[in-house]
Amino acid sequence: MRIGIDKKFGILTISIIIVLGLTLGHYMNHHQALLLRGELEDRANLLIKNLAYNVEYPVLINDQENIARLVEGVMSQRDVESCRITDKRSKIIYQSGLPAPEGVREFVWSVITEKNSDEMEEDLMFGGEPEKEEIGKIHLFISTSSLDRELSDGRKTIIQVVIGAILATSLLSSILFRLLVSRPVNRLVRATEKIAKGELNVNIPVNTNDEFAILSNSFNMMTGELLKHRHELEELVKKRTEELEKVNEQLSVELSERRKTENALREANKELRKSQEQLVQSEKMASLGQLVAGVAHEINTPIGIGVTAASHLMKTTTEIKTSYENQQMTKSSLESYFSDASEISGLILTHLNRTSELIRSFKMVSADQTSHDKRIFNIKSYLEDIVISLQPKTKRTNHSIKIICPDDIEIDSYPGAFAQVITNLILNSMIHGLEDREKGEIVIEVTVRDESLHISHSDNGKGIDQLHINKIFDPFFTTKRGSGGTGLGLHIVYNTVTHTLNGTISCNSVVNEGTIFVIAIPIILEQP
Amino acid sequence: MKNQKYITFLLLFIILTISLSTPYASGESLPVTLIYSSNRTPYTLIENGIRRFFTDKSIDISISSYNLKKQSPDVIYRKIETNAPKILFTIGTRATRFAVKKIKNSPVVFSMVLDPEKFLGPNVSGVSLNVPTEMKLEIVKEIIPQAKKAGIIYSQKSLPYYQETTEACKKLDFELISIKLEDKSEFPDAVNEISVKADFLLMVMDSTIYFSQSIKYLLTESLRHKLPVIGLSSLYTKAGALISFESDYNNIGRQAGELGLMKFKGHTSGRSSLVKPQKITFSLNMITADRMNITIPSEIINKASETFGK
Repeated sequence: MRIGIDKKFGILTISIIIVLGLTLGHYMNHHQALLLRGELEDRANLLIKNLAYNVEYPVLINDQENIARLVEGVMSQRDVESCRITDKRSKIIYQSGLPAPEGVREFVWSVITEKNSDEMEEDLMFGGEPEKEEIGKIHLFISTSSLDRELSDGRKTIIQVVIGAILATSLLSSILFRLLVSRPVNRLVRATEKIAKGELNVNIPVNTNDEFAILSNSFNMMTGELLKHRHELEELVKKRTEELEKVNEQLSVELSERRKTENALREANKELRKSQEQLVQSEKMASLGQLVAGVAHEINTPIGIGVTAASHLMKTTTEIKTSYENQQMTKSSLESYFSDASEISGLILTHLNRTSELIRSFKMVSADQTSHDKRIFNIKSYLEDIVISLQPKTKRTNHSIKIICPDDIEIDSYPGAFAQVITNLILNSMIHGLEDREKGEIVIEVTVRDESLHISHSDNGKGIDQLHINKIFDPFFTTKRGSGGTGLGLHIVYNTVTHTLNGTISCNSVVNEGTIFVIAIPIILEQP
Repeated sequence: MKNQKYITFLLLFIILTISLSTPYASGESLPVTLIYSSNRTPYTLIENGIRRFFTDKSIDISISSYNLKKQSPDVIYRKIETNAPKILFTIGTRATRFAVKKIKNSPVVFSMVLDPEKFLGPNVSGVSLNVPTEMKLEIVKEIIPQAKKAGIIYSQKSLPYYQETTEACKKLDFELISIKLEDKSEFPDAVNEISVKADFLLMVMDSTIYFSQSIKYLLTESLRHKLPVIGLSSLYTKAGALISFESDYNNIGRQAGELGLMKFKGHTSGRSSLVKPQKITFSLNMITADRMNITIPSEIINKASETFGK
C-alpha cells in the first residue's frame, strides 16, 4: 500500500504535536505540583519555625496557657490538622487535634533555647556566647487533601487544554498541508506518470506564484524539451543503426581474415621454433665437428713425426742388421745405432704421449657434450681438459687462457652442458673479443659462495657496444653475419645455463677494455 | 656638729625608706601575672588600668598573661610556679576560683567578680564589681522623680542583693515591691505583677531568674506595660532597659593595681580586704524613655557614658 507524502507529513506532524503536547502537559502538571507542594512546605515551615521561636520560653517554663494560645493560633491556619509539642524526652507537653491516618504530611522542628555557660553571672552582665540546647520538638500535621484536589483539578484542565490544542493544531496543519502541498504535488505526480507512459504532451496549469508554480513551469519546459529531444534522438538512433550495421559487416570480414592470419602465424611460429631448435642442435654438432677436425689436425703432426721416426728407425735397424750379418758391423756403428734408436724412440714416445693426451681430453669433452648424464666432477681438472681440447684453435694465437680455481671444488651437475658453456664462451672471446688483439688474455675464475658456484669468464678484448649488450643472448644475434657467425653461440650458453644447469648468467662490458660473463650455478643440481 | 649628725641620720632614713618601699623601682622589673577567665572587652580595660597605675607610680613591671579559655589550668599553674610572680591579678570569676584554689604563696588580687565575698582569704583580696544599689537609686530618682515604688524579682541566690536593695530603698524613701521566685516558671507572672504594682524594676544579678529568654520576655513586657527597667550593663540599655549602671572598668584596674602593690609591700599581710568600685558609669536608652514618656534631664544625659537612640 502506497502512503502519500500528505499522509506521511500528517502522521509526522500529528506525532510531533502529540509528543510536544504531552511533554508540555506533563511539564505543566509537574511544575504545578512542585509549585503547590513548595507553597505548602513554605507555609508549613513558616508556621512551625514561627511557633518554635515563640514557644521557646513557654516550653522552657512549661507555660501551658501560652503554649495553648500559640498552638491554637497555628491550628486556625488553613489545612493544619494537628499540632503536637513534645519535650526533650519526647513526652507530649501539648497536643491539639488528631492527625488523619492518611492524606496528611508531618513537619517536625526543634525548639531550641540558649544555654548559659559556667560563667553565668558574667554572661548575664557582659553577654556571652550561649550554647544551643534542644528543649522540645514541634510536630505539625498538614492535610494534603486540598493540595491533592488542586493538583487533580489542574491535571484535568491541562489534559483538556492539551488534547484540544493537539486536535486543533493537527486539523489545521492537515488542511493547510493538503491545500498548499498535496494538491500541487499530486498534479505533478500525475504528470510524471503520464510522461513515464510516454505521453509527452503534458501541460500542468500554473495558478499560483509559489515554488510549485516555478516547479510546474520548469516541468512544462522540461516536457517540451523532452519531446524535441526524443524526435532528434530517434533520428540519430536510426542513422547510427545503419552505420553500425555496415561496420558490423566489415568487422565480420576482418575477423575472419584475422583468424586465418593468426593460424598461419601460429604455424609459422611453430616451424620457426622447430628450425631454431634444429639450428641450435646443428650449431652444437658443428662446433663438435670443428673440435673433431681440430683434434684430427692436431694429432696428425705427432703421428706423422712418429711414422717418420719409426721409418727411420726401421731403416737404420735394417742397415745395422745387414752389417751384422755381413760381419761388417763396427763398434762405432753399433754405438751410433743405439744412440739413434734411443733418440728416435724417445721422439716417437713424446709425440705419441702428446697424441694420447689430446685424444683423452677430446674424448672426455666430446663424450660429455654428446651425453646428458649428470655426475660429480672436479671443476679445475675439467676446465683444464676443456682448454686442452680447444688447443687446436687456441694455439694458433698468442692469447692465453688462465684458470684461477681451487683444486678441490667438485660439483654434481651436467659436465657436457658445463663444457658447452665454457667452450662457447672461450671461442666467443677468441672470435669476437680478442679478434683485433695481438696478445689477449682470458681469465676464468671460480669461487664458491652461498652453495653456488660462481664462474667469471673475462677477457681484455674490445668489449661489446652498449647498443648490443642487451641482445647478445638473443637467438641469431651476431655482428659477424657475413663472416659465418650464426648468432647462436651465446643463445646456447644462456639456454644451457638457465635451463640445463638451473643457474643465472649476466654480462658486463666496457668497450676497448673487455667483457665479463658471470655465471652462478648450483653445486648440487637437483634432478628435474 | 649636732646638726651634721642629724642630717646624716635623716638622709640614711630617707634612703632606707625608699629602698624598702619600692624594691623594684631601680632598674629591676616587678614580675606580675595576669590570669583571664575568658576574652571580654571589659577585661582588657582592667589590664589597661593596672598597667596605667604602675606606670603612674614609675614602677616597671613585667607582665605574664594567661587565659583559661585558651590554656589548660595545669599548664598555667606550672608556669606560675616557675615564674613565682610577686603579685597575681585575676580577672573574672573562673580565674579567681582557679587562683584561690591553687596559689598560696603569692598575693592574689581579683577583679570583675560578682560574688566577691566567698573568695576572700589570707592571701586573696580584690575589687568588687557590684555597683551599690543606693548609688543606682539616687540617679533613678533624678531621672524619674515621680517614681515611688521600686520593684525587684529575686530568688534565694540573689538574697543579698534583695537585702541591700531593701536598705537602700529605706534610705531613699522608696517603697519596695519584691517578689521572690521559687521556680523560673513563675517569672512571667512576677513580671506582670511588678508591672502593675511598681514604678520601675531593678534587675539583680541572678542567673536562675535572668537568662536570655526571660530577659527577652522582660524587656518586651516592660515596653508593653511601660515599666522602666534598670539593667545590669549597657547591653541591657541597648536592648530596651531605660538605664543601666556599671563600674568604670579602667578605674577598677587601677584599684586592683593599688591593692596589689599594697599587698606586695606588706609581704606577710594576713589581712584580707575587699574594695568597692570608686567610679560608676551609666547608659541611657532614649527611645525607651520616649516610649515611657520620661523626660531625662540634660545634665543626667551629659553624665551618661553611653546613650542609645539619639
